[in-house]
Amino acid sequence: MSTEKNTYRIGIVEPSAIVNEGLGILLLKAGDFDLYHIDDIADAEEYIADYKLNMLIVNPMLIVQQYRDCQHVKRKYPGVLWAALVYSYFDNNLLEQFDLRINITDTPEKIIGSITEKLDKENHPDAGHSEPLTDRELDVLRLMVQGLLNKEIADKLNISIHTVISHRKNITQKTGIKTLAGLTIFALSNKIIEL
Amino acid sequence: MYNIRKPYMKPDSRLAEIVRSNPSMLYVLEYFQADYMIREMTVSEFCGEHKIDVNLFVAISNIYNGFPTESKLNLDAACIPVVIQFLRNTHFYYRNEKYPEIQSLIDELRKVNNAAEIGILEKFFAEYYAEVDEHLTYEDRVAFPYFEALYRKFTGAAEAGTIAKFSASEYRDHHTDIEYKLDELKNLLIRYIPVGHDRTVRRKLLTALNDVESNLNAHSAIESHILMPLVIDVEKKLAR
Repeated sequence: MSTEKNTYRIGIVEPSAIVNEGLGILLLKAGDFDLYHIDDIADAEEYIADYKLNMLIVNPMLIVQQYRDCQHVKRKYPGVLWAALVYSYFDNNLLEQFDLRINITDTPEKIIGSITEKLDKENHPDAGHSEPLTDRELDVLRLMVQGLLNKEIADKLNISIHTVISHRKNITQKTGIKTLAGLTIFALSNKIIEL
Repeated sequence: MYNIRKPYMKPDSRLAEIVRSNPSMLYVLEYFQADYMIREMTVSEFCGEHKIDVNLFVAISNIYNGFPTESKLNLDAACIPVVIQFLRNTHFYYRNEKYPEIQSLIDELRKVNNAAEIGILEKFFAEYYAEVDEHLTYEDRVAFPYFEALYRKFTGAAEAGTIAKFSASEYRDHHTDIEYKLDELKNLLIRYIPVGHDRTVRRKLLTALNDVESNLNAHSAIESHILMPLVIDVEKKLAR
């Protein structure tokens, strides 16, 4: 479904070139990621804004050194996940400020797995359940592909616009199809509608 | 990114070996407007002959080869017009070669498969292509001239006048949307379009879509990892 092909944008904030490039190559080999090498926390803000990053992988030492910058970025962009790149002993209080810990001694599979899992969970909480559409969702789909607007669908089915929108979200999530033309093809080929 | 791992290019690599093992290099040569009778030339000799900055050539080739871009490329600002010309050449390829090819494959599909879904697919492609065209036009007429004007100002070749404003975030939104629709097109063809007597033409169509997809991915990687950092750097220097 659409979630299969989600390119996550990850910033790696790590001053060591070896660690930075090495982790970068692991990630690029394993999956569909766009990576941005960032030198320090102060630059991270610009990258988050410009490239809409989903995650920052950060050397925890930098948090100690640039605590105020970190807090500022975190407050400003709450949607960005913070992963700690743990390669030596760090205080637990420090590590608790992160959403995820990556141990440098973990296998590549484990590192990639935990990063992807966390990102999928954050971005597609219901992904992975490819359930059939409910009767109500089928009703909405039929009207959508006839070209009706949300307001018209709501009136016809006697439900609120808000409910229509949430049905539409579920339809896209379950089918992996976003565009109206795509949904029409889906409905036709599943005999939900006829021309 | 390109899904086949190929030898990593360095300035002293033999260019012929790299081209032989990776057909997507042919696009790189073509977009640099370089013909090839490469003989035993190394990459830097070839670049010297064609007056191409070797670091730029290596960086772009490695993107097409599927390697991650180095974080600090330290390219010269003089690469800006060269990258832009390269990208304009990719536009020419999309407009005059690749998308017409896809269009004609869809026409063929329609001839051998009369399912109602094909008509919708055709419309979907038309809308998608209109969006691609709009984006390419935006780059040709707004983004690239803005970068070129900035570069001229930087080299002192132009008066420090006003330069039409351009939005980096709008630029990126276009890309995301185009990539998404292309993916959906493939998805529909694989999952939902009813089968007619169309196995061969469907394979050709999907292959063409895969080609254009990896080409577009390389195109946008060049923009975000090579062109934008160069432009941002020049903007910073001009602001001083």
